[in-house]
Amino acid sequence: MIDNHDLVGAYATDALDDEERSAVEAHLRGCAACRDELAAYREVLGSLPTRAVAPPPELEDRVVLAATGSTTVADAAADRPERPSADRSRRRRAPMLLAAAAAAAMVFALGGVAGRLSAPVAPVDGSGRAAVDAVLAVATAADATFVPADVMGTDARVVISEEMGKVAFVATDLPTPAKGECYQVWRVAPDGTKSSAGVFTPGADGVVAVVLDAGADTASFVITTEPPGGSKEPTGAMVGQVTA
Amino acid sequence: MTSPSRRWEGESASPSWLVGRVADGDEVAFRAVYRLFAPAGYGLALRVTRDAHLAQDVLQEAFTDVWRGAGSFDPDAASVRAWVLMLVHRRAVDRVRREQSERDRSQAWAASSHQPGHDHAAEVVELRAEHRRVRAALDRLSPLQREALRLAYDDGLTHRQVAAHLDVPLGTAKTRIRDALRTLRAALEDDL
Repeated sequence: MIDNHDLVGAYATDALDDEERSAVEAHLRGCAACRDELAAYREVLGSLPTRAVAPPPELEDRVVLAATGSTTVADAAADRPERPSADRSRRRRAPMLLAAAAAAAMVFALGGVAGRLSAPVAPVDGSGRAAVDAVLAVATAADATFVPADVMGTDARVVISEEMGKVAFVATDLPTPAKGECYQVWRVAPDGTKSSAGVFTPGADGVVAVVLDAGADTASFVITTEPPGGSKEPTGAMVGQVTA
Repeated sequence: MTSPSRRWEGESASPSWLVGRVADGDEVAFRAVYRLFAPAGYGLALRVTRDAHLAQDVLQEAFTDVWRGAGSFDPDAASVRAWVLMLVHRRAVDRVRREQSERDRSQAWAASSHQPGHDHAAEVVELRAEHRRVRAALDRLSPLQREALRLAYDDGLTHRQVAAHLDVPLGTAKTRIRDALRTLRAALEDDL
């Protein structure tokens, strides 16, 4: 009979065969002391500095596709002609998926709303991929803060990193403004002075993902609708506000 | 310019917060978690598999586990880093063993392909120990403990294989692995 209690170390290092692994897992369910010990060992192993190696960039889309089954990327990839069978390993498909992902609509969901990010968010950036990259850069900043924002009743989110000096606006289902009009974001200084942070129009399905300069001393952000190209100072209706 | 305190009220986008979002099916949060931990995970997968293609497959499998398992992640019980690396390590070890058993079936046991490389090991211990705190902890390991931990964790051997490799009884191998972890744990906790 194996002494399962004694195998926690080997279990933590994945040094058990399948049978032993199952036996230890059964033991763990009934032994809080061993669960605590295992948790501590995992933290120890997780804290050993691992040489970080950047994976190939195309791996991210492959991983997301495999994990989420994201049909938008998969469908786009499926339009491509089949390669000769010898070449049809998953690995060889990766570059194709990358190209497809860059061009295709991507499922975009932040703050509990799912939508599609497809059309580029003009005029702030050039492609869906760039928009996602820019938002992710802010979202993965150490001081990233997610702030709910009320923009025309939609479930918009704002991500702010003061260290980066950037603010990302993410929304879905944002109404398309009246013909030719755009949304304009204003930084509001503590004394009430407003300066333009940028203009945007929603992409397909009202999706917005824009990253703007947060400004050094911004007390709040205000969003208005403005004539084409934006205004020097707010003229249109205020449709949203984000306050520190 | 950089303000030390958070001026903006909202949810801190900590890694465990992101995993919570992943549990709700948030693909962007998933990508964020991937970007935060894929480099460490890939480094670990490379260390165990020593093969870029295998390591990429491992990363894909492990992050599929992240996506599926996010709902059962308990932020009070583990850090996201430890959790992700645990998933990567398990997949890496499984992969190495699968490859190994396929090789074993197709050809006679070729000792050379199974010998954990000692130069590699030395390098790994060096690389791991970049951080002073952990280096100090690793220094507290006896050479025997360190070897047992390296064979089990870095090379993905089972404790039976560790015992055979070190030519010690199974119980001794088991104890050395556990002692190594205990020593590291104590050293790291002392340090706090």
